[in-house]
Amino acid sequence: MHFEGLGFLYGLAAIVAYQVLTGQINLQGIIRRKDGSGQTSPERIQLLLATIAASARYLTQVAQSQNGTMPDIDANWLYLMGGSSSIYALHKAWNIFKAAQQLGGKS
Amino acid sequence: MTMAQVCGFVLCLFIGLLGLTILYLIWTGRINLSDLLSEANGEASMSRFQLLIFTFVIAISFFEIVASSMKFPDIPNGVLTLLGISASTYAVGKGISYSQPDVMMGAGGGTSDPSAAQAAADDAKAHSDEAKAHADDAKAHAASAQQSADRVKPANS
Repeated sequence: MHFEGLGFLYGLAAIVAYQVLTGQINLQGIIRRKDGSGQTSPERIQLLLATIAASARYLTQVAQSQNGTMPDIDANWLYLMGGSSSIYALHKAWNIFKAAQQLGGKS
Repeated sequence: MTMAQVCGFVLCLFIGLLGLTILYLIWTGRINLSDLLSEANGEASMSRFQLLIFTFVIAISFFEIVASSMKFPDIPNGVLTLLGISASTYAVGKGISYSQPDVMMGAGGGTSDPSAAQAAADDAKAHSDEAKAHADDAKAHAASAQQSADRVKPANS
């Protein structure tokens, strides 16, 4: 049963990765601001980097795990992800509400 | 073979076939994943991407641990917290986006790609020229019909 689960997960991950790489899953604008300015967004880039780093770190811990338990995540990594996500959400809120004010001012 | 073993075998077969069917349908495009990471305006969302990555990482890690130890492991609090942070970011991001739908839809309505904008302008010009040709054609037909009407009118009067 667990090999079925692993096979399904690896198969799904491979298909999603293939579709992302071939452009079938849309990644357009993933690091652009959504306020209509079209500018590259530093807070999205830092969240992307933090996500990749935390994922790689955890997969490494799992690969090194010998005792058959899921490794815990270090509190510092949780602070990093919490901070990074908060920066992203706050910037998103700020940019969208600023754009809404400009839109309201024009109309 | 006991009844429990038979049930386990059938259940295993069913889940395996279900998984294969889902993968096949995704691969052939009948289950459409093209908007998996897209927001309402068509642009990709960073928080969706983050949630997708973490879900795969934790799920694959979990099954790897199960496969290696042959037992159901406890899920540590740190992992639950990480998934909570990721899901909360997604939910908050969605809430922020949908609180200002005009800005959200306006951002995806245009394009910042000059070549795409030029292609759209050329397309619009081609349509405009075609419409103008049709209008000229209709005008010529109207003039011809008017001439015919003028010729018929004196003959009747």
